[in-house]
Amino acid sequence: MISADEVKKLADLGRLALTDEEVEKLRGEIDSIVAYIDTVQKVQLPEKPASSPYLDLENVMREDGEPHETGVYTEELLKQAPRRDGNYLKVKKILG
Amino acid sequence: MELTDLSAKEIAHGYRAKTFSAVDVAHAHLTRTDKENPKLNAYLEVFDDVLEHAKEADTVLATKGSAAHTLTGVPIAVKDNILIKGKRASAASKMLENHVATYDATAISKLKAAGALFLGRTNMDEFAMGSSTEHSAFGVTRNPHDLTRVPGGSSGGSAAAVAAHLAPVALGSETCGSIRQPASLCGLVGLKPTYGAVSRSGLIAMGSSLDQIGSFSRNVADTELIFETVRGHDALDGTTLPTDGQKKVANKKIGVPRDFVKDADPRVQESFEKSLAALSKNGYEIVDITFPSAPYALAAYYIVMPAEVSTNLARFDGMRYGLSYEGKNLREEYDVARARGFGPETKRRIILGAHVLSSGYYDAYYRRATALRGVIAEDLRKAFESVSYIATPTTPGAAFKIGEKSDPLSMYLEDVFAAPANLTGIPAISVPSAKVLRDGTELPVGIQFMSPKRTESSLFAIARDLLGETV
Repeated sequence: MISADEVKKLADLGRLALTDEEVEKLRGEIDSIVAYIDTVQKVQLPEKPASSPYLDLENVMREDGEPHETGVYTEELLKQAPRRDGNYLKVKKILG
Repeated sequence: MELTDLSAKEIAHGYRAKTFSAVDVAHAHLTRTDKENPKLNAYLEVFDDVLEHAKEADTVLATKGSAAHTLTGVPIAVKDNILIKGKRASAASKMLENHVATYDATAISKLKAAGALFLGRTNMDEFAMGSSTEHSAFGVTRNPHDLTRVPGGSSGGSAAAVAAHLAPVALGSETCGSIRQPASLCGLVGLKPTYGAVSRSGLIAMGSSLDQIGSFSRNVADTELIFETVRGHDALDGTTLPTDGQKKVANKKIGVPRDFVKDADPRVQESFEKSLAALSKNGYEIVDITFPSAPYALAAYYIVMPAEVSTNLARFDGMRYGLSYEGKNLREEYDVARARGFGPETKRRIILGAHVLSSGYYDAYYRRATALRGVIAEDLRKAFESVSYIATPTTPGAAFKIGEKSDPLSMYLEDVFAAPANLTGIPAISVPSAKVLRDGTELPVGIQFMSPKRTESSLFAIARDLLGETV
Protein backbone atom coordinates (compact mmCIF):
# COMPACT_ATOMS: atom_id res chain seq x y z
CA MET A 1 0.00 0.00 0.00
CA ILE A 2 1.18 3.53 -0.78
CA SER A 3 2.60 5.05 2.41
CA ALA A 4 1.34 8.16 4.19
CA ASP A 5 4.68 9.80 3.51
CA GLU A 6 4.39 9.10 -0.21
CA VAL A 7 0.92 10.70 -0.30
CA LYS A 8 2.25 13.68 1.64
CA LYS A 9 5.11 14.02 -0.82
CA LEU A 10 2.66 14.00 -3.76
CA ALA A 11 0.45 16.57 -1.98
CA ASP A 12 3.53 18.69 -1.46
CA LEU A 13 4.32 18.53 -5.18
CA GLY A 14 0.70 19.45 -5.94
CA ARG A 15 0.77 22.35 -3.44
CA LEU A 16 -2.09 20.94 -1.42
CA ALA A 17 -2.30 21.16 2.37
CA LEU A 18 -3.97 17.87 3.35
CA THR A 19 -5.25 16.81 6.78
CA ASP A 20 -4.14 13.47 8.24
CA GLU A 21 -7.65 12.08 7.61
CA GLU A 22 -7.44 13.10 3.96
CA VAL A 23 -4.04 11.44 3.65
CA GLU A 24 -5.36 8.19 5.15
CA LYS A 25 -8.44 8.15 2.90
CA LEU A 26 -6.33 8.89 -0.18
CA ARG A 27 -3.96 6.01 0.58
CA GLY A 28 -6.72 3.44 0.10
CA GLU A 29 -8.26 5.21 -2.88
CA ILE A 30 -4.98 5.74 -4.73
CA ASP A 31 -4.14 2.08 -4.15
CA SER A 32 -7.35 0.82 -5.73
CA ILE A 33 -7.07 3.28 -8.64
CA VAL A 34 -3.43 2.37 -9.25
CA ALA A 35 -4.35 -1.34 -9.23
CA TYR A 36 -6.87 -0.55 -11.96
CA ILE A 37 -4.61 1.60 -14.15
CA ASP A 38 -1.91 -1.05 -13.82
CA THR A 39 -3.92 -3.15 -16.30
CA VAL A 40 -2.20 -1.12 -19.04
CA GLN A 41 0.90 -3.24 -18.31
CA LYS A 42 -0.95 -6.26 -19.80
CA VAL A 43 -1.25 -4.82 -23.29
CA GLN A 44 1.28 -5.98 -25.80
CA LEU A 45 2.70 -2.82 -27.36
CA PRO A 46 4.14 -2.91 -30.88
CA GLU A 47 7.93 -3.13 -30.96
CA LYS A 48 8.14 0.29 -32.53
CA PRO A 49 5.29 2.20 -30.93
CA ALA A 50 4.12 5.37 -32.62
CA SER A 51 6.12 8.28 -31.26
CA SER A 52 2.90 10.16 -30.62
CA PRO A 53 -0.78 9.26 -30.80
CA TYR A 54 -1.45 12.62 -32.43
CA LEU A 55 -0.13 11.57 -35.81
CA ASP A 56 -2.37 13.94 -37.67
CA LEU A 57 -1.60 17.00 -35.53
CA GLU A 58 1.11 19.50 -36.28
CA ASN A 59 2.57 22.44 -34.42
CA VAL A 60 0.93 25.74 -35.19
CA MET A 61 3.06 28.87 -35.30
CA ARG A 62 2.14 32.49 -35.72
CA GLU A 63 4.22 35.48 -36.71
CA ASP A 64 5.77 37.45 -33.87
CA GLY A 65 3.82 40.59 -33.16
CA GLU A 66 1.48 42.31 -30.77
CA PRO A 67 -1.72 40.29 -30.48
CA HIS A 68 -3.49 43.38 -29.14
CA GLU A 69 -2.86 46.92 -27.96
CA THR A 70 -0.95 47.03 -24.67
CA GLY A 71 -3.09 47.52 -21.60
CA VAL A 72 -6.56 46.99 -23.08
CA TYR A 73 -7.26 44.01 -20.80
CA THR A 74 -5.25 45.12 -17.77
CA GLU A 75 -8.04 46.56 -15.66
CA GLU A 76 -10.45 43.75 -16.42
CA LEU A 77 -7.91 41.09 -15.50
CA LEU A 78 -6.69 42.88 -12.39
CA LYS A 79 -10.27 43.27 -11.16
CA GLN A 80 -10.12 39.52 -10.48
CA ALA A 81 -7.02 39.83 -8.31
CA PRO A 82 -7.50 39.07 -4.63
CA ARG A 83 -4.88 41.68 -3.66
CA ARG A 84 -3.45 44.43 -5.84
CA ASP A 85 -1.46 47.60 -5.63
CA GLY A 86 -2.25 49.80 -8.62
CA ASN A 87 -1.41 47.72 -11.67
CA TYR A 88 0.60 45.21 -9.64
CA LEU A 89 -0.50 41.98 -8.05
CA LYS A 90 0.35 42.00 -4.37
CA VAL A 91 2.05 38.78 -3.23
CA LYS A 92 4.26 37.71 -0.36
CA LYS A 93 7.97 38.33 -0.47
CA ILE A 94 9.80 35.33 -1.96
CA LEU A 95 13.41 36.46 -1.46
CA GLY A 96 14.82 37.01 2.00
CA MET B 1 -48.14 22.31 -26.47
CA GLU B 2 -46.11 24.57 -24.21
CA LEU B 3 -43.39 26.82 -25.62
CA THR B 4 -40.91 24.93 -23.44
CA ASP B 5 -41.75 21.70 -25.32
CA LEU B 6 -40.44 23.09 -28.61
CA SER B 7 -37.09 22.25 -30.13
CA ALA B 8 -34.66 25.01 -31.16
CA LYS B 9 -35.68 24.57 -34.80
CA GLU B 10 -39.39 24.68 -33.96
CA ILE B 11 -38.80 27.88 -31.99
CA ALA B 12 -36.99 29.36 -35.00
CA HIS B 13 -39.93 28.42 -37.26
CA GLY B 14 -42.38 29.95 -34.78
CA TYR B 15 -40.48 33.25 -34.84
CA ARG B 16 -40.60 33.36 -38.61
CA ALA B 17 -44.31 32.49 -38.69
CA LYS B 18 -44.84 35.15 -35.98
CA THR B 19 -46.68 32.60 -33.82
CA PHE B 20 -44.79 33.83 -30.75
CA SER B 21 -41.91 36.15 -29.91
CA ALA B 22 -38.46 35.62 -28.39
CA VAL B 23 -39.75 37.40 -25.28
CA ASP B 24 -42.60 34.84 -25.05
CA VAL B 25 -40.14 31.94 -25.36
CA ALA B 26 -37.67 33.44 -22.89
CA HIS B 27 -40.47 34.14 -20.45
CA ALA B 28 -41.80 30.57 -20.72
CA HIS B 29 -38.37 29.09 -20.00
CA LEU B 30 -37.72 31.46 -17.09
CA THR B 31 -41.11 30.70 -15.54
CA ARG B 32 -40.60 26.95 -15.82
CA THR B 33 -37.06 27.26 -14.45
CA ASP B 34 -38.33 29.27 -11.44
CA LYS B 35 -40.67 26.40 -10.66
CA GLU B 36 -38.47 23.37 -11.45
CA ASN B 37 -34.91 24.44 -10.75
CA PRO B 38 -35.18 24.53 -6.93
CA LYS B 39 -35.72 20.75 -6.93
CA LEU B 40 -33.39 19.90 -9.84
CA ASN B 41 -30.46 22.31 -9.24
CA ALA B 42 -29.72 22.20 -12.98
CA TYR B 43 -28.82 25.88 -13.16
CA LEU B 44 -26.32 27.45 -10.77
CA GLU B 45 -27.41 30.85 -12.01
CA VAL B 46 -30.14 32.12 -14.28
CA PHE B 47 -28.91 35.30 -15.97
CA ASP B 48 -30.73 38.54 -15.14
CA ASP B 49 -30.53 39.93 -18.68
CA VAL B 50 -32.41 37.19 -20.56
CA LEU B 51 -35.55 39.23 -21.27
CA GLU B 52 -33.50 42.24 -22.31
CA HIS B 53 -31.62 40.12 -24.87
CA ALA B 54 -34.88 38.51 -25.97
CA LYS B 55 -36.25 41.96 -26.81
CA GLU B 56 -33.13 42.66 -28.87
CA ALA B 57 -33.61 39.32 -30.66
CA ASP B 58 -37.20 40.28 -31.50
CA THR B 59 -35.91 43.50 -33.06
CA VAL B 60 -33.35 41.55 -35.13
CA LEU B 61 -36.04 39.08 -36.21
CA ALA B 62 -38.37 41.95 -37.19
CA THR B 63 -35.72 43.70 -39.29
CA LYS B 64 -33.85 40.75 -40.81
CA GLY B 65 -36.80 38.37 -41.14
CA SER B 66 -35.83 35.01 -42.58
CA ALA B 67 -32.26 36.25 -43.16
CA ALA B 68 -31.66 36.12 -39.39
CA HIS B 69 -29.58 33.19 -38.15
CA THR B 70 -31.70 30.17 -37.15
CA LEU B 71 -30.49 30.56 -33.56
CA THR B 72 -31.58 34.20 -33.23
CA GLY B 73 -33.54 34.42 -30.00
CA VAL B 74 -33.24 30.68 -29.33
CA PRO B 75 -32.49 30.02 -25.64
CA ILE B 76 -29.47 27.97 -24.68
CA ALA B 77 -28.02 26.84 -21.33
CA VAL B 78 -24.25 26.88 -20.86
CA LYS B 79 -22.07 24.63 -18.71
CA ASP B 80 -20.32 26.55 -15.94
CA ASN B 81 -16.83 25.92 -17.39
CA ILE B 82 -17.41 27.84 -20.65
CA LEU B 83 -16.63 31.56 -20.43
CA ILE B 84 -19.20 34.24 -21.19
CA LYS B 85 -17.65 37.69 -20.79
CA GLY B 86 -18.95 39.51 -17.72
CA LYS B 87 -20.69 36.41 -16.27
CA ARG B 88 -19.42 34.26 -13.50
CA ALA B 89 -17.74 31.00 -14.55
CA SER B 90 -16.93 28.83 -11.55
CA ALA B 91 -16.45 25.32 -12.98
CA ALA B 92 -18.67 24.44 -9.96
CA SER B 93 -15.64 24.97 -7.72
CA LYS B 94 -15.16 27.06 -4.62
CA MET B 95 -11.82 27.97 -6.18
CA LEU B 96 -13.64 30.03 -8.85
CA GLU B 97 -16.88 30.79 -7.02
CA ASN B 98 -16.59 34.56 -7.63
CA HIS B 99 -14.58 34.42 -10.84
CA VAL B 100 -16.00 36.63 -13.60
CA ALA B 101 -15.04 35.73 -17.18
CA THR B 102 -12.94 38.42 -18.83
CA TYR B 103 -13.54 37.18 -22.37
CA ASP B 104 -15.91 35.01 -24.41
CA ALA B 105 -15.08 31.42 -25.28
CA THR B 106 -14.92 31.08 -29.07
CA ALA B 107 -18.01 28.83 -29.01
CA ILE B 108 -19.81 31.62 -27.13
CA SER B 109 -18.66 34.33 -29.59
CA LYS B 110 -20.07 32.22 -32.40
CA LEU B 111 -23.39 31.71 -30.60
CA LYS B 112 -23.54 35.45 -29.80
CA ALA B 113 -22.93 36.26 -33.48
CA ALA B 114 -25.82 33.92 -34.29
CA GLY B 115 -28.04 35.77 -31.81
CA ALA B 116 -28.60 32.88 -29.36
CA LEU B 117 -30.04 33.74 -25.96
CA PHE B 118 -28.00 32.60 -22.95
CA LEU B 119 -30.34 31.49 -20.17
CA GLY B 120 -27.86 30.67 -17.44
CA ARG B 121 -24.93 28.57 -16.35
CA THR B 122 -25.45 24.94 -15.44
CA ASN B 123 -24.16 22.76 -12.64
CA MET B 124 -21.39 20.21 -13.20
CA ASP B 125 -18.86 18.10 -11.38
CA GLU B 126 -16.09 20.37 -10.11
CA PHE B 127 -13.69 21.21 -12.98
CA ALA B 128 -15.61 18.60 -15.04
CA MET B 129 -14.29 15.71 -12.94
CA GLY B 130 -17.00 13.18 -12.33
CA SER B 131 -19.93 11.29 -13.79
CA SER B 132 -22.82 12.36 -11.56
CA THR B 133 -22.55 16.11 -10.63
CA GLU B 134 -22.15 14.88 -7.03
CA HIS B 135 -18.68 16.46 -7.09
CA SER B 136 -20.09 19.97 -7.60
CA ALA B 137 -19.19 22.37 -4.78
CA PHE B 138 -22.75 23.72 -5.07
CA GLY B 139 -24.92 20.64 -4.54
CA VAL B 140 -25.95 17.70 -6.69
CA THR B 141 -28.20 18.02 -9.75
CA ARG B 142 -31.15 15.62 -9.82
CA ASN B 143 -32.29 13.54 -12.78
CA PRO B 144 -35.66 14.82 -14.07
CA HIS B 145 -36.72 11.20 -14.79
CA ASP B 146 -36.28 10.23 -11.12
CA LEU B 147 -35.28 12.81 -8.52
CA THR B 148 -33.51 10.21 -6.36
CA ARG B 149 -31.05 9.53 -9.18
CA VAL B 150 -28.11 11.40 -10.69
CA PRO B 151 -28.32 13.01 -14.15
CA GLY B 152 -24.81 11.79 -14.95
CA GLY B 153 -21.88 14.09 -15.40
CA SER B 154 -19.86 16.01 -15.58
CA SER B 155 -22.25 18.08 -17.73
CA GLY B 156 -25.20 16.94 -15.58
CA GLY B 157 -26.75 20.39 -15.14
CA SER B 158 -26.92 20.97 -18.89
CA ALA B 159 -28.46 17.51 -19.43
CA ALA B 160 -31.03 17.95 -16.65
CA ALA B 161 -31.96 21.43 -17.94
CA VAL B 162 -32.70 20.13 -21.45
CA ALA B 163 -34.43 16.95 -20.22
CA ALA B 164 -36.68 19.01 -17.89
CA HIS B 165 -37.45 21.48 -20.70
CA LEU B 166 -35.72 24.35 -18.92
CA ALA B 167 -33.83 24.93 -22.20
CA PRO B 168 -34.22 23.41 -25.70
CA VAL B 169 -30.46 23.01 -26.08
CA ALA B 170 -27.35 23.29 -23.91
CA LEU B 171 -23.58 23.38 -24.27
CA GLY B 172 -21.55 20.82 -22.40
CA SER B 173 -17.96 19.63 -22.54
CA GLU B 174 -16.29 16.24 -22.67
CA THR B 175 -12.96 14.99 -21.50
CA CYS B 176 -14.24 11.39 -21.32
CA GLY B 177 -17.97 10.85 -21.61
CA SER B 178 -19.10 14.04 -19.89
CA ILE B 179 -21.69 14.76 -22.59
CA ARG B 180 -22.56 11.26 -23.81
CA GLN B 181 -23.01 9.72 -20.34
CA PRO B 182 -25.47 12.38 -19.02
CA ALA B 183 -27.22 12.34 -22.42
CA SER B 184 -27.69 8.58 -21.94
CA LEU B 185 -28.94 8.92 -18.36
CA CYS B 186 -31.30 11.81 -19.19
CA GLY B 187 -32.67 10.48 -22.52
CA LEU B 188 -31.09 13.08 -24.82
CA VAL B 189 -29.00 13.34 -27.95
CA GLY B 190 -25.41 14.28 -26.98
CA LEU B 191 -22.49 14.86 -29.32
CA LYS B 192 -18.76 14.67 -28.61
CA PRO B 193 -17.27 16.20 -31.76
CA THR B 194 -13.96 15.26 -33.40
CA TYR B 195 -11.09 16.62 -31.31
CA GLY B 196 -10.29 19.97 -32.88
CA ALA B 197 -13.66 20.48 -34.56
CA VAL B 198 -14.70 23.02 -31.91
CA SER B 199 -12.30 25.53 -30.38
CA ARG B 200 -11.34 24.99 -26.74
CA SER B 201 -10.53 28.68 -26.28
CA GLY B 202 -12.48 29.83 -23.22
CA LEU B 203 -13.23 26.33 -21.98
CA ILE B 204 -11.70 25.93 -18.50
CA ALA B 205 -9.03 23.30 -19.19
CA MET B 206 -9.07 19.84 -17.61
CA GLY B 207 -7.29 17.40 -19.95
CA SER B 208 -6.18 19.50 -22.90
CA SER B 209 -5.44 16.62 -25.28
CA LEU B 210 -8.98 15.31 -24.65
CA ASP B 211 -11.28 18.29 -23.90
CA GLN B 212 -13.95 19.18 -26.45
CA ILE B 213 -17.12 21.31 -26.36
CA GLY B 214 -20.35 19.67 -27.53
CA SER B 215 -24.07 19.92 -26.97
CA PHE B 216 -27.32 18.37 -25.72
CA SER B 217 -30.74 18.48 -27.32
CA ARG B 218 -33.98 16.51 -27.49
CA ASN B 219 -33.57 15.79 -31.21
CA VAL B 220 -30.82 15.30 -33.76
CA ALA B 221 -31.54 18.44 -35.80
CA ASP B 222 -30.78 20.75 -32.87
CA THR B 223 -27.50 19.00 -32.08
CA GLU B 224 -26.49 19.44 -35.72
CA LEU B 225 -27.53 23.10 -35.64
CA ILE B 226 -25.41 23.85 -32.56
CA PHE B 227 -22.44 21.89 -33.91
CA GLU B 228 -22.54 23.70 -37.26
CA THR B 229 -22.70 27.04 -35.42
CA VAL B 230 -19.85 26.56 -32.95
CA ARG B 231 -17.37 24.52 -34.99
CA GLY B 232 -14.50 25.82 -37.10
CA HIS B 233 -10.84 26.74 -37.15
CA ASP B 234 -9.79 29.23 -34.48
CA ALA B 235 -6.46 31.06 -34.25
CA LEU B 236 -6.91 31.01 -30.45
CA ASP B 237 -6.73 27.19 -30.32
CA GLY B 238 -3.79 25.68 -32.20
CA THR B 239 -5.40 22.24 -32.14
CA THR B 240 -8.49 23.27 -34.12
CA LEU B 241 -8.90 21.65 -37.51
CA PRO B 242 -9.49 23.52 -40.77
CA THR B 243 -13.12 24.62 -41.09
CA ASP B 244 -13.46 22.69 -44.34
CA GLY B 245 -12.62 19.01 -44.67
CA GLN B 246 -15.67 17.30 -43.22
CA LYS B 247 -16.31 13.84 -44.63
CA LYS B 248 -19.02 11.25 -44.95
CA VAL B 249 -18.76 7.52 -44.28
CA ALA B 250 -18.90 5.11 -47.22
CA ASN B 251 -21.70 2.74 -46.25
CA LYS B 252 -24.26 1.63 -43.67
CA LYS B 253 -22.14 -1.01 -41.94
CA ILE B 254 -22.10 -1.00 -38.14
CA GLY B 255 -19.41 -2.90 -36.24
CA VAL B 256 -20.18 -4.22 -32.76
CA PRO B 257 -17.24 -5.14 -30.52
CA ARG B 258 -19.06 -7.96 -28.70
CA ASP B 259 -16.28 -8.68 -26.20
CA PHE B 260 -16.33 -5.06 -25.11
CA VAL B 261 -20.11 -4.57 -24.75
CA LYS B 262 -20.73 -7.77 -22.78
CA ASP B 263 -19.86 -5.99 -19.53
CA ALA B 264 -22.91 -3.71 -19.71
CA ASP B 265 -25.95 -4.38 -17.49
CA PRO B 266 -28.12 -7.09 -19.14
CA ARG B 267 -31.08 -4.69 -19.37
CA VAL B 268 -28.86 -2.17 -21.14
CA GLN B 269 -27.66 -4.88 -23.54
CA GLU B 270 -31.27 -5.77 -24.28
CA SER B 271 -32.04 -2.13 -25.09
CA PHE B 272 -28.90 -1.97 -27.23
CA GLU B 273 -29.98 -5.05 -29.23
CA LYS B 274 -33.42 -3.51 -29.83
CA SER B 275 -31.81 -0.41 -31.34
CA LEU B 276 -29.51 -2.53 -33.51
CA ALA B 277 -32.50 -4.56 -34.71
CA ALA B 278 -34.34 -1.36 -35.60
CA LEU B 279 -31.35 -0.12 -37.59
CA SER B 280 -31.02 -3.49 -39.29
CA LYS B 281 -34.63 -3.15 -40.52
CA ASN B 282 -33.69 0.32 -41.72
CA GLY B 283 -31.02 -0.87 -44.16
CA TYR B 284 -28.02 -1.05 -41.87
CA GLU B 285 -25.79 -4.10 -41.78
CA ILE B 286 -24.62 -5.21 -38.33
CA VAL B 287 -21.34 -7.13 -38.11
CA ASP B 288 -19.19 -8.30 -35.22
CA ILE B 289 -15.75 -6.72 -35.00
CA THR B 290 -12.75 -7.15 -32.75
CA PHE B 291 -11.46 -4.18 -30.81
CA PRO B 292 -8.79 -5.81 -28.63
CA SER B 293 -7.45 -2.65 -26.98
CA ALA B 294 -10.87 -1.22 -26.08
CA PRO B 295 -11.08 -2.62 -22.53
CA TYR B 296 -7.77 -0.91 -21.68
CA ALA B 297 -8.82 2.52 -22.91
CA LEU B 298 -10.30 3.67 -19.59
CA ALA B 299 -7.18 2.64 -17.65
CA ALA B 300 -5.03 4.60 -20.13
CA TYR B 301 -7.42 7.52 -19.71
CA TYR B 302 -6.97 7.44 -15.93
CA ILE B 303 -3.25 7.95 -16.49
CA VAL B 304 -3.30 10.59 -19.23
CA MET B 305 -6.10 12.69 -17.74
CA PRO B 306 -4.79 13.05 -14.13
CA ALA B 307 -1.36 13.90 -15.58
CA GLU B 308 -2.95 16.71 -17.58
CA VAL B 309 -5.17 17.73 -14.63
CA SER B 310 -2.26 18.09 -12.24
CA THR B 311 -0.56 20.28 -14.83
CA ASN B 312 -3.58 22.37 -15.88
CA LEU B 313 -4.75 23.00 -12.33
CA ALA B 314 -1.32 24.20 -11.22
CA ARG B 315 -2.41 27.66 -12.40
CA PHE B 316 -4.86 28.02 -9.51
CA ASP B 317 -2.59 29.63 -6.96
CA GLY B 318 -4.87 32.28 -5.44
CA MET B 319 -2.60 35.07 -6.64
CA ARG B 320 -4.18 36.42 -9.82
CA TYR B 321 -7.79 35.26 -9.48
CA GLY B 322 -9.82 32.72 -7.61
CA LEU B 323 -9.93 31.81 -3.96
CA SER B 324 -7.04 33.24 -1.98
CA TYR B 325 -5.67 32.83 1.51
CA GLU B 326 -3.44 35.23 3.41
CA GLY B 327 -0.83 33.16 5.19
CA LYS B 328 2.55 33.68 6.76
CA ASN B 329 4.47 32.95 3.55
CA LEU B 330 3.85 32.41 -0.15
CA ARG B 331 4.06 28.64 0.08
CA GLU B 332 1.42 28.45 2.80
CA GLU B 333 -0.81 30.74 0.73
CA TYR B 334 -0.63 28.32 -2.21
CA ASP B 335 -1.15 25.19 -0.15
CA VAL B 336 -4.09 26.47 1.88
CA ALA B 337 -5.87 28.28 -0.99
CA ARG B 338 -5.73 25.08 -3.03
CA ALA B 339 -6.77 22.89 -0.12
CA ARG B 340 -9.80 25.12 0.54
CA GLY B 341 -10.63 25.76 -3.10
CA PHE B 342 -10.57 22.20 -4.44
CA GLY B 343 -12.99 19.41 -3.52
CA PRO B 344 -12.05 15.78 -2.78
CA GLU B 345 -12.25 14.44 -6.37
CA THR B 346 -10.12 17.28 -7.72
CA LYS B 347 -7.52 16.70 -5.01
CA ARG B 348 -7.55 12.96 -5.75
CA ARG B 349 -6.80 13.54 -9.43
CA ILE B 350 -4.04 16.10 -8.73
CA ILE B 351 -2.36 13.57 -6.41
CA LEU B 352 -2.84 10.76 -8.92
CA GLY B 353 -1.41 12.94 -11.68
CA ALA B 354 1.64 13.77 -9.60
CA HIS B 355 2.03 10.04 -8.93
CA VAL B 356 1.90 8.85 -12.56
CA LEU B 357 4.30 11.61 -13.63
CA SER B 358 6.80 10.88 -10.84
CA SER B 359 10.27 9.90 -11.97
CA GLY B 360 10.50 6.12 -11.76
CA TYR B 361 6.81 5.73 -12.70
CA TYR B 362 6.76 7.83 -15.85
CA ASP B 363 7.72 4.97 -18.20
CA ALA B 364 5.35 2.48 -16.59
CA TYR B 365 2.38 4.85 -16.72
CA TYR B 366 2.39 7.99 -18.79
CA ARG B 367 4.66 6.78 -21.59
CA ARG B 368 2.83 3.46 -21.76
CA ALA B 369 -0.60 5.09 -21.74
CA THR B 370 0.46 7.42 -24.52
CA ALA B 371 1.68 4.44 -26.59
CA LEU B 372 -1.62 2.69 -25.83
CA ARG B 373 -3.50 5.64 -27.33
CA GLY B 374 -1.62 4.89 -30.54
CA VAL B 375 -2.61 1.19 -30.33
CA ILE B 376 -6.28 2.08 -29.83
CA ALA B 377 -6.13 4.50 -32.78
CA GLU B 378 -4.62 1.71 -34.90
CA ASP B 379 -7.34 -0.77 -33.83
CA LEU B 380 -9.97 1.81 -34.79
CA ARG B 381 -8.31 2.53 -38.13
CA LYS B 382 -8.41 -1.19 -38.95
CA ALA B 383 -12.03 -1.49 -37.85
CA PHE B 384 -13.07 1.49 -39.96
CA GLU B 385 -11.58 -0.16 -43.04
CA SER B 386 -14.54 -2.57 -43.00
CA VAL B 387 -17.29 -0.71 -41.12
CA SER B 388 -18.51 2.91 -41.06
CA TYR B 389 -19.74 2.99 -37.50
CA ILE B 390 -18.89 1.28 -34.22
CA ALA B 391 -21.81 0.87 -31.83
CA THR B 392 -21.78 0.21 -28.08
CA PRO B 393 -24.14 1.06 -25.25
CA THR B 394 -23.27 4.62 -24.14
CA THR B 395 -23.14 3.64 -20.47
CA PRO B 396 -22.91 0.30 -18.64
CA GLY B 397 -26.13 1.06 -16.74
CA ALA B 398 -29.04 3.48 -16.41
CA ALA B 399 -29.02 6.41 -13.95
CA PHE B 400 -27.83 5.34 -10.50
CA LYS B 401 -29.01 6.59 -7.12
CA ILE B 402 -27.46 9.67 -5.56
CA GLY B 403 -24.73 8.37 -3.24
CA GLU B 404 -24.71 4.89 -4.80
CA LYS B 405 -21.20 5.13 -6.27
CA SER B 406 -19.24 6.51 -3.33
CA ASP B 407 -16.15 4.49 -4.25
CA PRO B 408 -14.17 6.57 -6.82
CA LEU B 409 -13.30 3.60 -9.03
CA SER B 410 -16.93 2.48 -9.43
CA MET B 411 -17.73 6.01 -10.62
CA TYR B 412 -14.83 5.97 -13.09
CA LEU B 413 -16.14 2.75 -14.69
CA GLU B 414 -19.24 4.68 -15.87
CA ASP B 415 -17.10 5.96 -18.76
CA VAL B 416 -15.68 2.64 -19.95
CA PHE B 417 -17.44 2.89 -23.34
CA ALA B 418 -16.63 6.58 -23.72
CA ALA B 419 -12.86 6.39 -23.43
CA PRO B 420 -11.78 5.13 -26.91
CA ALA B 421 -13.32 8.15 -28.70
CA ASN B 422 -11.72 10.72 -26.39
CA LEU B 423 -8.28 9.09 -26.43
CA THR B 424 -8.17 8.97 -30.23
CA GLY B 425 -10.10 12.14 -31.08
CA ILE B 426 -12.88 10.51 -33.13
CA PRO B 427 -16.45 11.84 -32.87
CA ALA B 428 -19.21 9.95 -31.05
CA ILE B 429 -22.89 10.52 -30.42
CA SER B 430 -25.28 9.16 -27.81
CA VAL B 431 -28.85 8.65 -28.96
CA PRO B 432 -31.80 7.53 -26.77
CA SER B 433 -32.29 3.75 -26.98
CA ALA B 434 -35.19 1.71 -25.53
CA LYS B 435 -35.89 2.54 -21.88
CA VAL B 436 -34.99 0.08 -19.13
CA LEU B 437 -36.82 -0.77 -15.92
CA ARG B 438 -34.97 -0.26 -12.64
CA ASP B 439 -36.69 -0.55 -9.26
CA GLY B 440 -40.06 -0.07 -10.95
CA THR B 441 -39.02 3.12 -12.76
CA GLU B 442 -38.57 3.38 -16.51
CA LEU B 443 -35.23 5.02 -17.16
CA PRO B 444 -33.59 6.16 -20.38
CA VAL B 445 -30.30 4.78 -21.65
CA GLY B 446 -28.38 5.64 -24.79
CA ILE B 447 -26.73 3.83 -27.65
CA GLN B 448 -23.42 5.22 -28.81
CA PHE B 449 -22.10 5.47 -32.35
CA MET B 450 -18.48 6.26 -33.12
CA SER B 451 -17.20 7.06 -36.61
CA PRO B 452 -13.96 8.27 -38.21
CA LYS B 453 -12.69 11.80 -37.61
CA ARG B 454 -14.71 14.59 -39.18
CA THR B 455 -17.71 12.43 -40.11
CA GLU B 456 -20.19 14.07 -37.71
CA SER B 457 -22.74 14.44 -40.53
CA SER B 458 -22.81 10.63 -40.80
CA LEU B 459 -23.41 10.37 -37.04
CA PHE B 460 -26.38 12.71 -37.45
CA ALA B 461 -27.64 10.51 -40.30
CA ILE B 462 -27.58 7.27 -38.30
CA ALA B 463 -29.07 9.03 -35.26
CA ARG B 464 -31.93 10.36 -37.40
CA ASP B 465 -32.53 6.90 -38.85
CA LEU B 466 -32.74 5.38 -35.38
CA LEU B 467 -35.09 8.03 -34.01
CA GLY B 468 -37.16 8.25 -37.21
CA GLU B 469 -36.41 11.95 -37.44
CA THR B 470 -37.02 13.30 -40.93
CA VAL B 471 -36.13 16.99 -40.64
